[in-house]
Amino acid sequence: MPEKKELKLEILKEIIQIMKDEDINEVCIQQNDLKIEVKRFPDQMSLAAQGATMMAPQHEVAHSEDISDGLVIIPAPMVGTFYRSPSPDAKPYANVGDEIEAGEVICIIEAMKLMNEITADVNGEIVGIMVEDGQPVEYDQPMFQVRPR
Amino acid sequence: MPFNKILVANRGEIAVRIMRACREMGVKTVAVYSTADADSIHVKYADEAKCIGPQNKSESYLSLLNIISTADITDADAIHPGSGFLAEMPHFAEACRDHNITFIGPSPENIEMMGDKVKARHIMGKAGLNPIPGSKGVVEDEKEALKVADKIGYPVVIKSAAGGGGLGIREAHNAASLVNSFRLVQGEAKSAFGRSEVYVEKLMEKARHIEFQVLADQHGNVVHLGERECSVQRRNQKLIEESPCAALDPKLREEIGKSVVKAVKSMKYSSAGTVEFLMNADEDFFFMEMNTRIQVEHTITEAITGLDLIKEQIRIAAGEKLGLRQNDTNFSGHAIECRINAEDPENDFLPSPGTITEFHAPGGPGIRMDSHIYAGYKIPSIYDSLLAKLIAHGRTREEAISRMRRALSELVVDGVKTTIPFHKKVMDDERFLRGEVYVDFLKSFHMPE
Repeated sequence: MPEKKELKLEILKEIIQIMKDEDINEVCIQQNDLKIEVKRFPDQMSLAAQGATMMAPQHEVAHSEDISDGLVIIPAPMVGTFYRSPSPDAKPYANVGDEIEAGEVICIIEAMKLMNEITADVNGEIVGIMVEDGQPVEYDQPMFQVRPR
Repeated sequence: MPFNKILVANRGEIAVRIMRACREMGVKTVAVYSTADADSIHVKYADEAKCIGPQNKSESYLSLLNIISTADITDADAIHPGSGFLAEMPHFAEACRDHNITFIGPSPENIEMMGDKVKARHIMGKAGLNPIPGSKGVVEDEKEALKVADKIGYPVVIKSAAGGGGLGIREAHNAASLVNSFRLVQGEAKSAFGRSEVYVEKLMEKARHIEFQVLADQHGNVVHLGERECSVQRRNQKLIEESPCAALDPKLREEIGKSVVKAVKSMKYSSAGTVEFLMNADEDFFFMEMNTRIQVEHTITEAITGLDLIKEQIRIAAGEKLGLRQNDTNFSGHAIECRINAEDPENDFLPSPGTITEFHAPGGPGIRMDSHIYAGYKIPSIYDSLLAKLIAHGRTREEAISRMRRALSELVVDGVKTTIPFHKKVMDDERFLRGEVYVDFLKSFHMPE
C-alpha cells in the first residue's frame, strides 16, 4: 500500500538524519510489525572513538564457516566473555537440537561491560556448543556447530 | 616487578621489543593479533596470545573494544601501545584509565595536546620553543593559505593538524600548486585521521631533522637523552637515523636540551616522548612537533646511553621515580640505525610484500638487529613495510659507519625487495660520510642503474 511505503521512507530519512547529526552508528527500531535496522560505517578514527563511548546494546553478526560433513561453525565475531543466556537466571538462547534462524540471537558476548547480542547468519540445527557459559572467547573462536537447512 | 601482566597492543618488531623488556623484568605478556598475523613471531614470543579480529586494522589493531576486552579476559594490568595504531589516540588512553588498566604512556590530556599539531605549536611556542614559521592556527581555505604563504614566503608545506607518520603532507612551491594541493591535503587528512583541518608551514629544505628524546616520571622529573638526526627520509618517513648529530656541538646540545626539558616539564608530561625540530644552516632550532610515544629509532639512544627505554616507560607507568638525573646521563660513541623495509629502492620505494625465503642476521661487535621476520614468513601486505631495524654502534661515527657497512654485507633477506641496497649505497655516499645530511638528501640521491 502506497501510504505505508511512504511512511516507512519518511521514518528512514529521519533516522538517517538523526544518526548523522548525533554521530550514531547503529539504530534498531521495532514497532508492532515494523522493524528498521540502520548501520553506518564511519572511518577508522571514529571507530576507535566509538569504542570508548558506546552505551546502547550492540548487535554483532557471526559469519558461519564451512567445515566437514556439511556442518558449519559459528565463530566469535569479537573478543569477550561468552554467555548462553541474556541474564544469569534466564533460559539459554540456544540449546543443542534447537532450530535457529538467520538473524536470531544465539548468545551474548560481553566486552567492556557491554552485552553484545550475537546473531547467526544461517538457518539450521545446533548440533554442538563448543564453549562454556562464562568462558572468554577470542575472535574467530568456534562457538556453535550447526547443520544448515 | 612493576606489573603482573602487560598486554602489548601492537605487532611486528616493536611488539617483540616490548616483550623482551617484559621478559627481562619477569612480567608476563599478552599478544594480540589479527588473523593475518597468526604466524607472526610476536604471537609465539608472548606468554599468551589472543586473536582480536580480521586483517583489516580498524577491526583488529585499531579496535579499542577488542583490545581492552582482551586485557579484561586475560587479567592484564597494563597495556603498552607501542608505536602507531592506538598509541597516540587519547580515547584509547582514556578508555584504559576508565577500565583500571594502566596505559604505558603519557596521559590522555598530554596525548591530545600534542596530537593536535596546531595546538602543539601554540603550546610549545608559549613554553619557549620557537615553532617553524607558519600559520597561527588552522587554515580554513585556499585564500587564507595564500595569505600565509605570501607572508612567510614560498616554498611552503600544507600539513594535517591531526597528522603524524609523514602522512597528510604536501609541498607547494608557488601559488598555483598551493591552491592545487590545499584541498588534496584536506581530503588526505580526513581519510587518514578523520579530521580535515590543515595548517601551513615554511618548507625548510636545507634543514636537518633533529629530535630530542625525553623521559619524564609522574613526579615532575624530566631528563633529555640527547638528540637523534633523522634527515634521511623518503616521503617524510625516516629511513636512517643517527645519534649524536654530527653538526651539534656539546654547548648547543646542552642549550636545546635544557629548553626541551623546561617545555616538557611545563606540560606535566610523563613517560617517553620525542620533541622534533628542524635546524637551519644558522643552527636555529624550530619546533615541528612532539611525539608522545616510544619511537622506532629509540634504539640508537639506547645504544649511546646504555639505557633500556621500554623498561623506563614501564617503571614510570608503575609510578616509580626516574632513576637518573640529567648529569647522570652519559653519551658514549655514535650509533646509526638503518630501517630495513620490504620496499624496492629502485622503484620509488614501492612496497614489495611476499614471502621471506631466506634470512640471516648480522652479528659481531656493536651490531644490534631488532626484527620479527624468519625464513618462510609471509609478510602481510596491509601493514607497514618495516622488516627489521639494524643498529650499529661504534666509538666514533667512522667506526659506526664501517660496522654498518659490514653488517649490511652480512645481512640476507631474500624473497622480497628490501632497502638493503639503498643503505649500502648511502654508507658509501660522500655527502653522508662527510655528515652533510639534510632533509632533502633523498631528492638528490639516486640508486645507480
